[in-house]
Amino acid sequence: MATDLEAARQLVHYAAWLKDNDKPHHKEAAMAKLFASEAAAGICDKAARVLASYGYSMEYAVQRHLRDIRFTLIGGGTSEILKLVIAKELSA
Amino acid sequence: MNFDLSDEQVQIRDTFARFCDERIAPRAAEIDEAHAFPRELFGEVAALGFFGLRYPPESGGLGLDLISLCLALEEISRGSMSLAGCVTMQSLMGTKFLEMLGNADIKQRLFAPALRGEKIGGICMTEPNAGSDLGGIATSARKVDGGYLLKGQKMWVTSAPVADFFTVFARAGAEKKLTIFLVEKDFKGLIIGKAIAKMGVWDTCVNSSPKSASSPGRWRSAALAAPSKRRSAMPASASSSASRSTAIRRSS
Repeated sequence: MATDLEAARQLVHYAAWLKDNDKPHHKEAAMAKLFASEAAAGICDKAARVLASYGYSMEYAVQRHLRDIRFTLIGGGTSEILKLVIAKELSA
Repeated sequence: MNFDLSDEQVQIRDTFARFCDERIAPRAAEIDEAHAFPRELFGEVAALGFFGLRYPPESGGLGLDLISLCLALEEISRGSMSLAGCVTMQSLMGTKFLEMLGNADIKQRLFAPALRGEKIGGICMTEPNAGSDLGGIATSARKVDGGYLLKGQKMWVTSAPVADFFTVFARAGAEKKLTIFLVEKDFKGLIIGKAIAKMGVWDTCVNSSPKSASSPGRWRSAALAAPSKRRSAMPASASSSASRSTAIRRSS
């Protein structure tokens, strides 16, 4: 979980760095968004499992993270659309 | 290779981390349960300079880089995804085209107050039959005396129930060019729909509501247009003039 989080953060920062330095970043931005949102969804799912029944309880915050994080798989381009973008960039 | 953050980036991250721990996190559950627009925290985010973080100083912004924005946003999101949703839309989408294309009146009357968090801007791209595909946009714009008449329906508009103005994507004229319009909430014929109930990210709960035009749906807006060079989700260029608003055109 911690490794996925760190990898996601590095990929996002790298894509942002490319943009900040006026380098091509279309593919990397799509990869960062795809990886970070999927990683976050996986991390929240695992966090809920670690907490077992507490992870299923509305009394603890992890259920909110689990619900909220699904938004990132949709907003700003779904994972499926991002894969199309990446595939296009790879074959360009 | 150098992976170090600059002193300025570290300062941004630490400022927003502290804001998250002290102000957002303690209220995250309340925001989630209330399903109400977090207006007070929205104002506090504005006071930290977040809405102008990416805009140049001459536009009233901080002129910081994208990494700084990512660092700030990670901390806001850690506290509340609902708050992160509405403040992100305000800073990157709701005010973007006003900064790029707005005339002095728009900058002074709408953009500057939006950076201070006093006015809220929404962006209307998605339609019931056009989600990720901007090419599928069907909302039409017809030139009429004194402006444009817009007809169509938008949905998933973040902050719509509380927004003061909207950036609206529509197809203008016989050639159906994808064009961007500024629509203010008091424009005749604008109808703000019902908030969409969702499983999470409640900034947007308030946010996401269908917007349809009135009787039978028309928004009046002034317009002007110029071709744009950019493609991607946020293309456009424009100019302004006309009565009260601006429209932007890009070749699709």
